[in-house]
Amino acid sequence: MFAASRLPVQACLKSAARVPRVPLARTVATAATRSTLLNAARRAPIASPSSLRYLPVKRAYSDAKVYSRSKPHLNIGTIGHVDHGKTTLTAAITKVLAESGGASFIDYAQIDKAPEEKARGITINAAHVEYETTNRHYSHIDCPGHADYIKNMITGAASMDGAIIVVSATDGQMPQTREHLLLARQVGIKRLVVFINKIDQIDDPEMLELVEMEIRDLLATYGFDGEATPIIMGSALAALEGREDGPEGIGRARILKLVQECDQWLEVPQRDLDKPFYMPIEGVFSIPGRGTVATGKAERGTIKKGDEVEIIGFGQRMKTVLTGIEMHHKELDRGEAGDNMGALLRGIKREQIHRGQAIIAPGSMKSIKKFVASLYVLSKDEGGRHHPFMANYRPQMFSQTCDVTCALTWPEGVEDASKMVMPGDNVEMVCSLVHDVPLEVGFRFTLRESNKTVGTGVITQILEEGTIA
Amino acid sequence: MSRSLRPSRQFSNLLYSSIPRNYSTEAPKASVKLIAEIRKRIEGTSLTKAREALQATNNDLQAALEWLEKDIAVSGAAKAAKLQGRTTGEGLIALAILGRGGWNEKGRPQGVRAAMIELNCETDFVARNSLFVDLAQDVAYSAAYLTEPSTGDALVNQLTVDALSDAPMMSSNPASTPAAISISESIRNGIAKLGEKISLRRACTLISDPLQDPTLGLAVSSYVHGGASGTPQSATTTVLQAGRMGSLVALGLRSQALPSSILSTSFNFGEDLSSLGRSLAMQAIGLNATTIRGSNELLEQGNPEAMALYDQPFMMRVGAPTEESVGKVLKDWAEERKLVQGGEGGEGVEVVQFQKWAVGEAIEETSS
Repeated sequence: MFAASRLPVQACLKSAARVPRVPLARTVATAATRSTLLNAARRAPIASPSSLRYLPVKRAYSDAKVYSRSKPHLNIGTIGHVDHGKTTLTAAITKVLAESGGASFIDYAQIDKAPEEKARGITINAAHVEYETTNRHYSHIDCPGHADYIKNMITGAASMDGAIIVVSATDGQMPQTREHLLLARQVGIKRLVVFINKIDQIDDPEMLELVEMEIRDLLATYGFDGEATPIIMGSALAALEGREDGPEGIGRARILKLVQECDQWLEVPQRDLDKPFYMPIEGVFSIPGRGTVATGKAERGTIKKGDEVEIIGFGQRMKTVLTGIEMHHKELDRGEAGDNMGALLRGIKREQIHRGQAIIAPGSMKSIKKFVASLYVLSKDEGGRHHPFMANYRPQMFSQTCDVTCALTWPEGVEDASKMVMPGDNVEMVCSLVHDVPLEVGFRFTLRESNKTVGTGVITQILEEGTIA
Repeated sequence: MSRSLRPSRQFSNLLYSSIPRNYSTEAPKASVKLIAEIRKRIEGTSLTKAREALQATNNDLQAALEWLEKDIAVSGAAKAAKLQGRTTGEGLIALAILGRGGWNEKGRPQGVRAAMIELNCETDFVARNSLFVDLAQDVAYSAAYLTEPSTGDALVNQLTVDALSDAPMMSSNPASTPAAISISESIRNGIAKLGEKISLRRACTLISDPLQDPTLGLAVSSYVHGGASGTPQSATTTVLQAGRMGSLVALGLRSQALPSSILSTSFNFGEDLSSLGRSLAMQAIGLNATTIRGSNELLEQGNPEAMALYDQPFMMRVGAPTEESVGKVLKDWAEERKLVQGGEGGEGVEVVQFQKWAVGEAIEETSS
């Protein structure tokens, strides 16, 4: 039931930009964190027009195990050369953790033959495995290529918070290990764990030391912590076959060590609840006798009645006080991430605020006019454009509740600014919005043109803030 | 070596007593320091190979490097045989242009010499690695450098992979010393270093000697999409590009006015021509034309990709994308530059032939 199964679309919707009129994210996304939602959604059959066609046929609610939110969740992936044992390691982790009930054992063939997935209509090659340690819950992906990891990151289908780099002890790091580390950097991974595999084929401890030393050097070269990164040596195959070869063990024991190091070294992203309050405004109403109410879903943080808030976007920055919180026609004293709420705002007229602006904890966010983003341009088969576009292409950008026309240009210093962007490409481009909206690094968005999604992206760098009118 | 070997953090708790150590009885123990040195000098040498080399040469670094150079052919071949059954769906299209045609600043016609190849590997990680990019570009360079001008009518000629594989590998980097090995051998070296199956799939050339008739002109342009960068080239006139898609376009010119046009100072003829050529090369990839001119049956269906190149809207015109057809833009271009004198028919500029490839695409038997 768990792994190597298709990931329904809604799993990805929460973290992704919301295309208007997709009610799904709203109704489903009441969970506090992206990750818990992701897993809840993966198990529960939630019908939605856009996701139905990707749902596996056999999926009954009774199948679903109750997912406990008590453990923090982390998305990780394995990256490495094709012959260095990524898949074997993934299988070994599930086997070892299955003993303690933290996973179901998934064998090599199942991981290797994982079907193509569709996340938000985009085809991604990835195998998904889930497991639990005593401290954490992990969602683990294994992709065949660079482009698949990038697509995963951009769509938010399974963005990686950390990664395990697999290196064979017989070969040592390969020339393409650089590309693996560059990829990890590109998808925003700050911490890695290294697994040196196949140590049963090396009889000289000094050789293993050399592998370790080289990889530490390389990690440092690519901006990772070369000194402190945990490097675990073992044999994934031995773990799968139940061999140990020695008192310390090279199989099961080392897999447990690896998982333990992941628990300790890889950092869990901050929970949405712990972040400053942020609610994108979806609708604005005037309630006679009370005042102006802005509705929307609180994306993060918590808020209390009487708290000071700021409304930003469209060249505005207004301070006010939240005088009331309402949910399901009931008055509340407190709202939190995940709540669909109405916020009563003191001294604000209905005409003053608009959909697309955001109510935030004062000073916690900026309204952005220009940013750099990683884009995936949908291929023709995925329903995207049929033809390439060049710089200065102007689609609509949808993110959170805002939609703004944006012009796409090449970042400064690009070798050839007259090049084109073809459907199916991953590119880094500068997006200039016609007016500023509240956005941040890490926010996802979609690009649409005449009611067709042509691309999707994630903000990687802010270039310019809006000016306050 | 910047760092000395030190016992690692993890190491203190490792016990290897149970692992058999049989090497010491047969060969001298390889120096770990030298293994590291070898791996720095020859990127992609596996640990076990480096150790084998040192053991065979009694820890003599120079001898070990020579040993490896000899061995790489054998180990590459062995590795290649082992990976034989794997599929190679990734890779690069590499282009080398040694002569663009057109005219030099004195107005003398120049020859055309260009080649395009497809080199495949298993993952896009390897396709992005500079060793692989350099390998692909060197193969393209060799194909462009070594091929004889064809005697046939067609400008673009397909090379057979077998013939090219046996040809000597030329390095596109003038600084590097020639290795005196064949292309297939250097591909096998790449396999040994990168550990993935690598195969040369196809190659074509576009070669012509300088035209003798002053009223005729020939120039080649290229575009590569989804580019990958290899080792930066020192300043030469050679164009080397590699990416996921590539195209070569040959532009022909015919006009009584050519000798004066090319030297005219009222416009930059050479630059305009190469910009036009590049736009056409982009158009060929971007709108996926299969023929230059052709039937218009599918025109009404409104699908530009089904159209011949000349009928497609020239959307990829650099700096000035337009809905006007490629054919019309070419006609206007020639008229604006007074190439069409009205005397003789057939004056102007035209696409003589083009070739476009994408990595991993199904190969059509009849390419344009």
